[in-house]
Parts: sequence; structure tokens; C-alpha cells
Amino acid sequence: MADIESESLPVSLRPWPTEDPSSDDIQLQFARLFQQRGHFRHITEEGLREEIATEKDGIDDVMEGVEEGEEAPAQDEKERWEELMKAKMQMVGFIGTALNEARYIQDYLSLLVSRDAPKLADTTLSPYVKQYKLPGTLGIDKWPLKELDAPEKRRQELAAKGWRMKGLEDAADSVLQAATRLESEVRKETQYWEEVLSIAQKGWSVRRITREGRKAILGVQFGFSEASDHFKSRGFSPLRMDDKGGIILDAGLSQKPKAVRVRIQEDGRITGSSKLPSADGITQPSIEDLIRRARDSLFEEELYHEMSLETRILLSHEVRMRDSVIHLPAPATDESKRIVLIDIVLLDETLPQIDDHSSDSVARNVVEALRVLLLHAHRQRLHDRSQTPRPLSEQKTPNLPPPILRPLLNYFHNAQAIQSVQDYLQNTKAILSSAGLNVSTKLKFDPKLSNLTETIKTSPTETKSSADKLVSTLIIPQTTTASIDLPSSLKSAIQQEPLNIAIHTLVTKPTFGTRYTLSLPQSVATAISSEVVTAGTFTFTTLADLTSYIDLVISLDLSTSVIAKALSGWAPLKGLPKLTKQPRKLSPSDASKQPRKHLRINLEQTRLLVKCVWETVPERVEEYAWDGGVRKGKKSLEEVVAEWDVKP
Amino acid sequence: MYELLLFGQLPRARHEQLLKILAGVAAMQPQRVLERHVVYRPQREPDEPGSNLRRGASQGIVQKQVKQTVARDLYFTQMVQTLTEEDFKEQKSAAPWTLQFNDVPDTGDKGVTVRMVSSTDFVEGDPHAYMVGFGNKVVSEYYVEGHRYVHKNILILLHRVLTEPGPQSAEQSPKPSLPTFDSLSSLDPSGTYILQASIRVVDNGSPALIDAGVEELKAFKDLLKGCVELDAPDRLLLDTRVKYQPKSFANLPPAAAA
Repeated sequence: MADIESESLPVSLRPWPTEDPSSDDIQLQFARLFQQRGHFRHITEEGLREEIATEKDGIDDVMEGVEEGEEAPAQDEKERWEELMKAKMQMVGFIGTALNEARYIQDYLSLLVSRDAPKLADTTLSPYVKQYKLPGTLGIDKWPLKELDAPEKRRQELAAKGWRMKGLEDAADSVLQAATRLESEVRKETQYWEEVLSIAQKGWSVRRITREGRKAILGVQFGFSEASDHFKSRGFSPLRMDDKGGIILDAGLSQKPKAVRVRIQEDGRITGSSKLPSADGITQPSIEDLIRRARDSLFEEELYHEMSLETRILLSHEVRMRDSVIHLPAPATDESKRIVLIDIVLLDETLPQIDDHSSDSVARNVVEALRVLLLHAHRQRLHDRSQTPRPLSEQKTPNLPPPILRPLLNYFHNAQAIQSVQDYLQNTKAILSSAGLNVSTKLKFDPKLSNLTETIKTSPTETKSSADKLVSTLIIPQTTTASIDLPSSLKSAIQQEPLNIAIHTLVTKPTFGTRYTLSLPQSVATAISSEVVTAGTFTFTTLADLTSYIDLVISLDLSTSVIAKALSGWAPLKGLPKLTKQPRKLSPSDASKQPRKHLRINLEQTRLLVKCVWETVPERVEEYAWDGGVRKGKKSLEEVVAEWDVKP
Repeated sequence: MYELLLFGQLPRARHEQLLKILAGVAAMQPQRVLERHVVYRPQREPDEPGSNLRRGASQGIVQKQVKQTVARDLYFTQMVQTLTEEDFKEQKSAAPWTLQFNDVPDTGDKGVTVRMVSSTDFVEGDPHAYMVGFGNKVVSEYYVEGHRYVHKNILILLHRVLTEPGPQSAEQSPKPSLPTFDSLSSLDPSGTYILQASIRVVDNGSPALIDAGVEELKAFKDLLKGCVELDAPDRLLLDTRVKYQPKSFANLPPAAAA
């Protein structure tokens, strides 16, 4: 009873400590002492003696306590009873715990055994564990712990030593390796950065781009910043490092250079070709050479690409794309069949030689013009981009290709129109002068072109440069004015306005072609229609209409203002280049009756024809023609008419 | 037309840096912007809020209910003239004027400020006479100086507001001559610049368009994250309505006081 009370743990259930053979070991004893007493420095001889003394007393105390308890049982028997009950309860609890532990062990062992002897295990396994159906899940094995013998020990020691040495060796190796690697890396980096620096020093813009989720790469920007999207992305080439630190050429840089070629075809025969930018002939090109080549090639490819897109909207102008060759009709005159052929060729390709070089200059100018126009389109794009953006709306702005072929086509058509009008005027002038009427013709270009320096002058606040202004002035459709004096102006004293023909060509909306605007001065209009009319302008879209109208106007002018005024008696017909002369009746009984005479003046394409008809029976007809040729003895118009006038 | 706006502030010291950054972002050189703004307000005072509601006790006469309309708001308007450096040198400008009206920003949080704007160019005539003729009077003038970029559909304006120093004189009309540029001083003494990113959207009642604009503006905001913080200010900071100010009795004319 006293034991249970004084001790807190059921010591009796513990196994009795076995005799430790090493308990004599001084070390263990020290440890035990240390645990029991604490540090030695607190232990003194007096202290120990005192303690021994008190220990005796202590034991006595215990004995005394027991005695006291026996001495006064009646004092509080009830208390004592409660105490006992409490102790009993405690003991029962402890026993329960022990039983529980034992059952655990039993279950554990039964599970272990259940693999080999399931029946036996079944009898001892508790129902609680049984419900989980775990028999045979635990395994057991045992093997002897072998005592190492001396040689084995030694071998193991040697092996350990060996491993350690090997480890150290490896460490040294890897450090060395790291050093070499670092050295080669430094060399590589130096080489790489030197090359990058040399590129940058040549003026190429080197920049770093970070792509989503990838390492930032360094690259060179050689394309044009305002190129169309596809070519813009191709204008950047990453500069990657190879094993030796050199720069790996990107596919974009190592492509074969290309260039746009322009050939002139006349009547199915090639008569001229533009000179290709000569391949630089460097067999071992440096990276800068390659970048320059790539830049040039990219520009040419973009030019060709934009042009081929543009051909689609120019189909109505007979611009065709056949076998990757753009056919652009560029007639110099009405009859010629001149075609500009544009294609893109590899620079190192051997091309068939052309013997004829008569149109080389045209081809060369065309190809230069195309390049200038693309550059201008780039600048224009930047300019448009810098303007205040249009408000967002659902209407999409049409994305037309930049005008490259259109200005060229415009130029060719316009030049042809001007040439045709001029040819016609020269021809007419020659015919009239052969008939003794020396009229003059004039050709005046657009005022914007005549004072070009004034037009392209820029103010400092303007963002457009002079070069841009120059190009845009040149590619805006021009109005050229050709003029011819009327024959009547030679006779009249007052200065008469000439016939003016304004020539304007537009290949795009709204006219799709050349427009000839003839302005008829009021005096002329009044004179030829013999009534007061206002000055008018007439617009023709074909040259034939225009020339036949001018022919008529000149014929009318000749009949109404020249002949009718020079000779009396001739009455011009209204609206027709015809004159009639009634016979002069001196007296009603005049026998010598003169027949009525008609005179018809006709300016045609190649000649001026004057016809006189006498209304006799049968009709008498005489005619005279001038075709512009200068011959001796040729009479003038007035002479001829004067002759007929007096002829009976 | 709708205008979507985001604003950011920039200390003067970082102005040069941001000019370069924006030039890179927009891939274009900055364009100089100099503007003269003349602020007008209606000559009439706004009605007292709630004055349209009937007051006092009803006499019990059965009346036909007159539809009660809310008092019309009065707004400040601006006349804007785009100037050049030359104009400041010559101290006068013949540049055309534009009438600008900005509404109070819409309620609703889209992350950007959305407001109705309208601008009308004067082609000819005297703009000031027009404004006065419509019952407006000049309040003040200020100048905007800065740079402009265009990034896709976004108009980026990095600017600051300049004013003529000294007290504002009560002008009846815009000054006929311009001050010299050097004499102008920044409204904010610290010289802070304002970065304004805006997208204009046509007003055709399509919310998808506005959303597209908002998205683009937000993407731009993300792009400039860490460089300039763009934000939509409180909508009432951009209120253009004329506030009602009750008259104190002391200021009333004697007849009214009696």
C-alpha cells in the first residue's frame, strides 16, 4: 500500500534492470553522478556529510509517517477510505492500460503469424482487427548480425579511404573543369561581343527583345521600321552565339540576295533592261556585309511584294502578272506596244544577255522610280501614323497597297497623252502653215512643276521633309496645258485667246483615264457660231473626239473668220464649215448669170481640203489640198479661194 | 463621340526619360504640342438645386400635374487654339479655333474614364463673338505645352499646364496678343507633367466598340506599368458643370434685400 502511494508509476510491471556489466565503467558512473547531483563544483565534503545525515532522518521520517498513520486511524477514517478507493481506481486504470497494451501486442503478433499459420492467428486475433481483413499483410524475417573480422574491417577502411580520395580528385577535376569552361566562356563572350560591337559601330541598330517566356535575345534591326507587317518582322535578325563565340547566321541573313529587274519590251522584243545592283563579289562576307545584303534584298522583295499586290487593283489597266512577271503597259505613242516587265531575280543568277540596249535608260529610270516610291510610301506611312487617330468605329479603313505602280502608270499614260496631243498640234500646225497660215502652238507644264523650288520649300514647323514634298508633288497627277492659236488670230488686230487643251490623267478614281479639257474662248465661240455664246469647256475622254472637234473648230474659224472676212459675198453657214456665194445680180435682166457657189473647208487628220462647187448643170467641182509638206509653187488658202471667187 | 481616358503623373526630373521611352513605344518622334485654351461659362447663374420642385402647401386646388423637369445643368466650355513656337515669338496667332465641350464622365467603373466630348472647328468668323452671342463669358485662359505620340489608336499626350503669372485680371475677351513663352509659368510649381492616354470612339451606341477601346487602353496601362502609373481619376474631378453658389444676403442688391 505504501509503495503504491509513494510511487507514481506501477514500477512492479517494469522489468527489473539487469546487471549491467559495464556499470563499473567510470564514465557511466560519472554520467550518473552528474545526472543525480549536478555539477561537481557544488559538491563539498560537508555538504555530502550533511546529506547523509539528513538521508537517515528522511528514512526515519517515512517510517514515522507510517507510524503516525497507524496511530490515528480513527481520526478520519472516511478520508482514508476515500483515499483507498482512489488508489484502487488508479490501479484498475493502470491494469486496463496494461491489458490494452498486451492486446495490441497480441494483435500485432497474431497479424505477424497470420501469414504462415492463418488458422492459428485467427483464434488469437481480436474481432476488431479481424473486421479489417488484414491477415498476411505483415512479414517477418531475421538474419544474423555478423561480426566483422579483421581483414574485412581493414578492407572497408581502405575502401572508405579510397572513396574519399576519389571524391577529392573529382572535386579538383570539376573545379578545373569549371575554370576551363569559364575561360572558354569568357573567350566566347569576348568574341561575340566584339562582333556585336563591330556591327553596332557600323551603324546598325542592335537591340534586345524579350519574348514571352523565353530568354531575351540580342538581334540586329536592319529592316525598315515602316515596312508592311510581314517584312517588318523579317527585318530583325537574332544574333545567336555558336560554340566558338561567333555569330550564327539566321536564315534571314544567309538567304541569297535578290533584286528587282525591269525590262522594256517593245513589240515582243526586249529592248532594254535595268542594271542589277552588282553582287559585291565577296566570297567570305563578314557579318556586316551579310546584314547589308539582307537589308537590300529585303527592300527589293518588299517592293516586288507590294507591286504584285497592286497589280490586282490595276487589272482594268491591263496590268498583268504572268509567271511572276508584272506586265505594265507603257505605250510611248498610240501605236507602240511598249510593255514594262518587272520581276525579281537572284543576284548571282546568270541571266540571258540582251543585245539591244536602246531602252536601257527607261528601264533604269523606272527601277529607280519604283524604289523611290516605296521609300516614299514608307515615309507616308509614318506620317499617317503620326496623325491624330480616327475615332474607333466599326467601319474598317480599306488597306490599299501603297501607290507604286499607279504613279508610274499615271506617268506613262500622261506622257503618252501629252505626246499624242503635241503630235497632233504639230501636224495641224504644219498643215496650216503649208496653207499660208502660220499659227503657233505652245505646251505648258503644271505650274507646280515650273516653280518646284517654291513648292517644296518647307517651313521649320512642318514635319514633312523637302524630299517627301518633292516626291508627292511629282506623283500627284499633273495638268499639262497645250495650246494652239486659231488662224483668225493672225488677221485680227486684237489679241485673241488660243484654244487651250488641259491634259489630266488619273489612273484611279474618279476618272480612270486621261481627260482632255478644251476651253473655247468666248470670242471664238461667238465667232464660229455667229451668235453670242459664253465661253465653254468641253471634256473629252478620247483623243479622236478631241482632234475631230478641234479640226471642226479650226475649219469653222477658217470659214467664218478668215474667208468670210477676207472676201466679200461669201456667207458662212451656221455651224458648218461651209460658205455660199449668191450670184451678184447687178440688174434683174442680167444675162450673164453667174451660178451659185459653195465652198467647203475641211481640216482632216492629214490634210486641209478646200472644195468649191459651182451649181451649174452638170456640177463643177474643184478642190485643193494641203498636207503639210512644203513645196515650191504651192498656193496659200487665200490665194486659192480668191481664184475661185473670181472664177465664173 | 466618346473619349476614354487614363491619366498619370510624372515628376519633372523624369520628363526627358519618359519622352524617350514613349518614342520607343510609339516608334515615332514626339510631336510638339502648344495649345491655348480659353474657358467660357454661361453668363446665367445655375438654378438652385431642387428649385424646380414645388414648395409650400398646396391650396387643394386640383391641378393638372405639370411634368416637373430637372433643372438644366450649365457647363463650362473651352475654345482651343493650336499654336506654334513662331506664334509665341510674334506674340500673335491666326491659327483657327476649336470649340471643345467635355461632359461629366460617365458613372460606372470600367477602369478608365469615359466621357462624351464634342469639338467643333471654327472655319471663319469671330469665335469670341459667337460664344458671347450664345450667352457665355470668358473665365480664364491657360496654355498647354507638351508632346504628343500616337500608339495604334491611343493618343498619348505628355503635357503640363502653363499660365500667365500674376493675378488673373477680369478680362472680358481673350487677350489679343500672346505672352512670350518664357513668361509663362507652370500651374503646378513643382513642374509635374501629366501623361494623358486617350482613345476616341464614335458614338453609335455600340458597347462592344467602347469595350474594345477600354481593353486597348488597359493594355497600354499594363505596358507602362512600373514606368508611369496610369489611372482613372474620380469622375467629379473632371466635372465641367457650373456649381450653384447660394448668394449670401449681404451681397444681394438693396431692392431684393428689402
